[in-house]
Amino acid sequence: MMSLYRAEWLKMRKRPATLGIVLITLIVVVLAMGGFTAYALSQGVGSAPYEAALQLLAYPSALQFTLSILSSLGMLLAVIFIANYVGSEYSRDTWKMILPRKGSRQLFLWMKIALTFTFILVLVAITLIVGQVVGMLGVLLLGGDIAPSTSTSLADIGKACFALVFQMGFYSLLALLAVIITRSTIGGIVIGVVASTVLGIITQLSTWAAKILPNVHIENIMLHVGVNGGRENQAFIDQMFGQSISVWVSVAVVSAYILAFLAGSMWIFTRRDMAGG
Amino acid sequence: MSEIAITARGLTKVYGRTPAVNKLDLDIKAGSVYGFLGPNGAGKTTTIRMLLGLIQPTAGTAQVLGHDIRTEREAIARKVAAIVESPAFYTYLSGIDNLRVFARTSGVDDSNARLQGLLERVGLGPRGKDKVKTYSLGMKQRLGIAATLLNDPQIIFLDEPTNGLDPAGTVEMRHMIERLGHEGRTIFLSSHLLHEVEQVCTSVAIIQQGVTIAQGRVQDLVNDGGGYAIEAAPFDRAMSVLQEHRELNASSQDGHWINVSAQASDMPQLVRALVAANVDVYQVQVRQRSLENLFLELTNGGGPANAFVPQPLAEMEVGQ
Repeated sequence: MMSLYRAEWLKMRKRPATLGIVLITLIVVVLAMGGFTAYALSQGVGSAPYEAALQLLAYPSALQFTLSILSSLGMLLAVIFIANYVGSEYSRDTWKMILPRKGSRQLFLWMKIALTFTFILVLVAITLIVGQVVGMLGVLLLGGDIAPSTSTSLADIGKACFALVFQMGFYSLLALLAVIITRSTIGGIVIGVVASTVLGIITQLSTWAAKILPNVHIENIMLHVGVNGGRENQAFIDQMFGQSISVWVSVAVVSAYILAFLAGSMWIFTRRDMAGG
Repeated sequence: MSEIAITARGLTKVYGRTPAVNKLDLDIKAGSVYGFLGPNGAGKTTTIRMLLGLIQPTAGTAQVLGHDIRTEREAIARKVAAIVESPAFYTYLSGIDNLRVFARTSGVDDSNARLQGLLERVGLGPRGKDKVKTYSLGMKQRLGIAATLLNDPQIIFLDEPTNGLDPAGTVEMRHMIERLGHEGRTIFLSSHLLHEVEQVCTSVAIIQQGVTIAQGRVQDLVNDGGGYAIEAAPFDRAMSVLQEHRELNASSQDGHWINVSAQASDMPQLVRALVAANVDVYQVQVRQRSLENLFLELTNGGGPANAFVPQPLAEMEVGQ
């Protein structure tokens, strides 16, 4: 099993798309941090943007800021990554080269999921480090303290990281199911993105839809850990649900979807003919 | 190693209402180089994919090295390797990294020395570190052969391994297949190139529309039904003498040579009958078919099944 993980790691690590996703994420974070710093500098010492930048770019606030950026990109990053990673086995017809080498098809899919999880963790870690370093450089340019006392703790950051990985995991498995159904990278990306948009529209139709579908629950989780907004957004979420819903209920609902996507992917993948690309 | 490498009984795959493979029977001896022939769409690749577990049979049974293809995939995976249609690779990886991926997937030694050794064996040693996207089709086929050797398989499935190769590449691939056969492995070779198959295969099966229409040793198949060709004059008198024996199916395509379906033991009596009828017999030649002729006869030139049309003598090889 470990050797199969190493085989998938080699493929994933050297994929141009993997490098592309990491680079684009880092560029977005660096541009956001750099832009914020430049704007603060242009507004001058003592201005509101200047003071906000000093606070936001210092340690550990920059970590939270980076997580917010990642959260905005998370759905797209997860969908594109897994659709490309699994879909290319169909489009290049490489399944036929690897599946006959092992008896269990399930094992291949578990490894793909494990590698996707690894990728998400590595991406989040690298982005956080780069985000914080760029943030600190920004603070130094602004002439502030790189680690002022703050109410944000590392435990809060850890919770936010967990929620982000959970969110990306959800979208990854949604896209995985789409790839396996359509047997195509494009199918996975289109269905992954469109499904998310359509679900977002449906959840606005009724409070029941919001309660049953996963979107608002994901938002609820992200808000709970301090990513993507504050109290005013919580009020909006409560309004969508028609009541206040505990974060644990939201975790349970999203987990149920994750399990359903996983079971569906496994069921189809192990039974369907692999008849060529 | 078991005596029989692959058996299939009534192996069937139906897509919608169309049978791609229809009650296929196979018996392939271990250690043989087995040619699997058929026109396009005959069901060759579907059969290979079923034997490899890539697709599920609709009906029938098959065993690979004594293991059921439906229930014992793990055991089969350790003992077989395959190139299905054209070999597919991770083109952004180098040749040696592709082998490393396949070795790790199989759970076998992926050391540089071993992988480089395999690359050398197929003549790709100096190009092993280049990305596969820079390889020619012939190089990809050779890399595919190297990939099949990673788990030291007892059976290698090669599906059209010479497709797209130039003549030199085709000859090189043939030699490679011969070498693999000499190592005692069972080679399951699906190909359109009948001349190539005839040169390397010990046994063949010919399938059409998913049905086995001939199976056996190459020598037996090409000899069976070959008969004799007789050059005699006057032609009309010779023909009327031979047509008195209806079982000979005497016929001629060119008004010169007369083809008869006869055994060697019948020939002295036939010649005596011709001479007794004042016919001069100039030559009697064994009429041996090439595999290509046999294939075209049985498949009606690759057309619909069950439309048997004998090939004219002019298209047959005539030899001693």
